[in-house]
Amino acid sequence: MENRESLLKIENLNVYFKTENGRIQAVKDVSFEIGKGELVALVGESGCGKSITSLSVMGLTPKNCQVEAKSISLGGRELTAMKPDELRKLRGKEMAMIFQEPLTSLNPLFTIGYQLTETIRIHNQISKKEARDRAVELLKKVEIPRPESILKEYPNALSGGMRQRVMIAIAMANNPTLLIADEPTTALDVTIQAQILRLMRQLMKEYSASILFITHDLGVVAEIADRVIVMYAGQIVEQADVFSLFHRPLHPYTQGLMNSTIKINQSDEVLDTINGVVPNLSSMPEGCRFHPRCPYAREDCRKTMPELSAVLGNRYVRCLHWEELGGDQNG
Amino acid sequence: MADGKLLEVKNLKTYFKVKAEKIGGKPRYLKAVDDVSFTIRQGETLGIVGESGCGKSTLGNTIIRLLKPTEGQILFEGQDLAKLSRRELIKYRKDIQMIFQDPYSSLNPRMRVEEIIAEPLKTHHIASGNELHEKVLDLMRNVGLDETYASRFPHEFSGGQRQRIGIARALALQPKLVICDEPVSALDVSIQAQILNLLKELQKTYGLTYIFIAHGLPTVKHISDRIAVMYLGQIVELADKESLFAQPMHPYTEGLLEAIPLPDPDLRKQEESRDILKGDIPNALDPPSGCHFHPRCPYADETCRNTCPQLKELQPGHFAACHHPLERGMAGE
Repeated sequence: MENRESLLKIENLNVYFKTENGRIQAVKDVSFEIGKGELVALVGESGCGKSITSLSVMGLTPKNCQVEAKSISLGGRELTAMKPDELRKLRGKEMAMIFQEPLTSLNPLFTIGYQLTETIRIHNQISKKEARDRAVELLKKVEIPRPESILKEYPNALSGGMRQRVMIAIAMANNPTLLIADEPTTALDVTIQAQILRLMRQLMKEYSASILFITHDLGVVAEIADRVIVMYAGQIVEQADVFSLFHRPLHPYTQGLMNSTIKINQSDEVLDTINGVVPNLSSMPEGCRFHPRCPYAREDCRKTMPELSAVLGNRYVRCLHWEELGGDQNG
Repeated sequence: MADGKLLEVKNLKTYFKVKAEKIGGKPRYLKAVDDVSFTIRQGETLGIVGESGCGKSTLGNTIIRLLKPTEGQILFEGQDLAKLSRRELIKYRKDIQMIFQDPYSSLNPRMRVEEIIAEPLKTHHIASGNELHEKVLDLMRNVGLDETYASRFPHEFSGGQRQRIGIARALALQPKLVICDEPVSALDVSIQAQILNLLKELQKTYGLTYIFIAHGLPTVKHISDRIAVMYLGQIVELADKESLFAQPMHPYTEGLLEAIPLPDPDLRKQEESRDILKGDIPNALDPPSGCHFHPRCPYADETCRNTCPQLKELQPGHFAACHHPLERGMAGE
């Protein structure tokens, strides 16, 4: 995030789940910034805390969740100090979110038109007619054919790709400064995914919005991100601009992820894998959380939790031995 | 790779009857698999790839006869499975096994791992008592499961380990053909690689033949020898994986290849120059006339709108169903 003005700034975010077996920590001490007009990808496997981090920003965490943060600020305004009412006014206006499964995030009982104009009218004092015109405009923006007739349709009449376009239209309805997209293309077919990614890029430029893009797919990351944050077991383990990250992944987990991703332009007989499985939140390993799966783990890794330290200029890595590991060139 | 044919599918059709929209109206048919033919050689892996609704899973389910085909032949070692009754099918069930996508719903939560893996061996009266127990432990070791877990229940395992249980169960009867229906789609990237490596290793050890069904081309490319691309119930292209990737002949295959995001930002496709397939996958109940792909095809003309192209061998071993097959590949190197 070289010279960009910062839009979202998260400092020391900790998220806990209250369960029958006591309090378990899902996100540990996460801090990062997103610049204006920047697309930041948040990457990690299931259970790494990437979704819950984004829900914490939106103030949409489930009831059994405790969010503690030193600060979460959006465009200079402190979100942690806000009352639910104030936060609600920001949601859908300053910050909006799209989800993985567009069918479950649209209400099946209301028409597309109703759901779209509702979002517009909640935040703007305009007539139904004006709202409807804006809705048509938005559907055109997201390249939906026959927008007037789609407004009268219910979500079930639309394909997955079309529904995701509608979700994007709803999210962009009030020109938000921050769009959080949680695996927005995971449920879509690959040709539709390509269409949606392109659309998001275009809209981002047009509205000069920032995007926090949550995904597990390194291909998608390489395709669209400016900067990448890699999470593992509730912590950020690496942060870098997209080119540096792919050229030289520093953390053994990032390296493992890249090596186990199939590259279509080369053929390997055997894929590299990361041994073992993601640890359970309630029984985190001591020391570095990645050490039981790390091929380079040493004695000190078992005992000392590494800090997320600034290295090589604009990068961050959480590893005691990153310098010695070198980080193979990707490819 | 030996050259004996293990399976030959000829003009296979699986149609589903869909209720008429009006009372007294004509019932409609969803042509999930519509005139599909291919052969599989002993020991090879045929990948079947396509987007949702293209009929790839229905094809797998029909070959294993979980579904009854509407028409056509499924010749397994010369015997037509399409014609057999349930009773007659039993002895072929041993030879063809399936691995499912969702390792959560495909294992009975009330059975212990040992019981799950032992069940096919018991059903087919292959082993009992101590011998059965030994066989199960052997299978567990072969798929990389710790044998001390034998008495645990599925919920105590991660997704990847559950998929290993499903694989052990499929291999218990020493099948000749294994149909893998999206076996890694539900798993995390690092675990996908583990399972793909395991499948390859088992293929070598036991001389297995696979049909590998998936929507992701990279996965299919990694594991397959040959690949069939399906679109709306039909195979539109079938070739060795190298020639399919180096020289796709069907515009749909080209579009699929172009759409894959590559995990390398230096190869980031220039947004403007990139050809992205337009439009949506049409409703399978009401497929477009002529070539089903024509509304999305950048090269479509009058012929394509009117006549459905046949799958033809355009180069040795390379089949495509297109009136205007691509001369040279644009995607891939």
